[in-house]
Amino acid sequence: MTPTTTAGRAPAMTFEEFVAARSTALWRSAYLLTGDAHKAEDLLQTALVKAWRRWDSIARRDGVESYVRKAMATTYTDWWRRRWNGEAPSATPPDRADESLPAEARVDARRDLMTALATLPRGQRAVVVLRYFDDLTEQQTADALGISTGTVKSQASRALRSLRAFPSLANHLGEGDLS
Amino acid sequence: MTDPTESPGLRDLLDSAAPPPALTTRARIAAVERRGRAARRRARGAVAGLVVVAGLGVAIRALLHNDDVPVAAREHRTSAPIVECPREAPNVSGPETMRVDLPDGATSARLCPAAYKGSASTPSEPRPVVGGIDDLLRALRDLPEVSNRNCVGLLAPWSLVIDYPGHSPVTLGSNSQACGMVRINGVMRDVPALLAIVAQAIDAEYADGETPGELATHDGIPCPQNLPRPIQAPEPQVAPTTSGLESVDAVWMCRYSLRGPRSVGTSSWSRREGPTPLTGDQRDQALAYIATLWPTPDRAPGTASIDCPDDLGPRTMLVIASDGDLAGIVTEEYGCQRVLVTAEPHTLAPDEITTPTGTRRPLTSPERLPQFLRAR
Repeated sequence: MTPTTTAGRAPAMTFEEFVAARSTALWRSAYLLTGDAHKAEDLLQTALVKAWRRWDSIARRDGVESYVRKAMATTYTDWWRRRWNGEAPSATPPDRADESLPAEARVDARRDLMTALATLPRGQRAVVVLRYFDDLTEQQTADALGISTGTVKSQASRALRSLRAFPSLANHLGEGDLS
Repeated sequence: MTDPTESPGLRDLLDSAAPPPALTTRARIAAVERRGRAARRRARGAVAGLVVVAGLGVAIRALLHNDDVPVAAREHRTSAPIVECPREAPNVSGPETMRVDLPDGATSARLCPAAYKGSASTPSEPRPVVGGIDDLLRALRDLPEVSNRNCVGLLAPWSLVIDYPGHSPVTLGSNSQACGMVRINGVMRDVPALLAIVAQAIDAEYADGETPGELATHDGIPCPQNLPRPIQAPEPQVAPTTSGLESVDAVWMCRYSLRGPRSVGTSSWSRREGPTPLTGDQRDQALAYIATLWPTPDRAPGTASIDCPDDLGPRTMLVIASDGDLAGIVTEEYGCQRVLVTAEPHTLAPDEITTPTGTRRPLTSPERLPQFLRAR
């Protein structure tokens, strides 16, 4: 059964259309949060299940994607989600083309980045992904995580400071990125 | 939007580190719908359990009535003959040598170890995909075409055997650890992506049938008879906020008293009241209070520490259920009136949380959760 939209309103995006359009981007965010392809899929599906169960009400609003992002972020950061305890990042991220760097340097940079992300507390890691990968504003990031914009700023600052502690990563990012 | 000049290198690195997903949209939608229906059934189970606890004696069968169906498919997965695993994975020397066609009409698929000496009666028999076999084959046929340059590295030997009634089973796999690709219906496909899809199908097949939620594991009883002792437990996760409570299915309250001699290691917190289901406004109010919980601020430097003996009692635990998972929030009615949490009420002792700065703190409730609970 697919949840349907309420009659009498402009046709809203169906659940299938939303997943087809946005789930690749959302999965990549989930991968950066979890560092593991299977956990990323589980995290995304967990958030999509929440949306699926409430599709009638959330599809009428314009915030389906922000709802799913928020569900992903809170599922990832909430202490009471038992299944998300005990995260272990994968050792080597899958290959992906970035032709601007030599192959070896690309692999090193990705590995160092995933290693660095794995050292961050979950809240800081979520802020990094939402702010710098999903390109959300401070306010949008705060809304997704249920925290204040001040906390977003301080978490981002701490996270970037931690990333700076990885010399190889700092080499790839350059001074401007981590200032 | 963020200022694009602020962290272009970080953004590029994040972008390069995030690969595309292996699962197709169709397979993901099917998996989400299966999980959604399973979650709905568990929520109904939680409601039924709540009714039992309340002693209302209403027709539980009606609450558990399920219009979503997958039961029939699950029943036939245990009764249908399942093809056995091959004794060895196919001997494949190069990526071009493994060619298979996967038409509709299969009855099961099983992901097997490279070397296999078991039988159908072996308890550790790899679990077959039966109910979701059509979705699985469709997802495998939908895998995008790949070429040699997409090779991601070494694989473990593997084999996947697919049973077609009246025909010989189709076996895919490789006993080599070379870069993995397989030609399905004439198109080269990536083996890691294929294995990810099969793993998803196995998870989906067994997720709600053989892996009961935490509530079901404890026979529908949300509160333990005795609070777990604070032994060496895993560190609770960082809690920037107690958000996400909108998906809570049920809330219960239990009261505990300290029983036994009050010497170290001999007393225990035993349940004396509850579980009492909180419904309607009480439930909403309890969740609103929980949402205000926050780590207690650090003491100011130079101020005296406060001794918080834990035997002043009683304690009250709120247990929340979400998708079959439980979590507990424990309040002390006297003493320091700390608020402690446990992600597994039956097995992990209520404890402080680890804050984003790495210090361990109890939670505090600006909205006076303990007073609210005492009044219940």
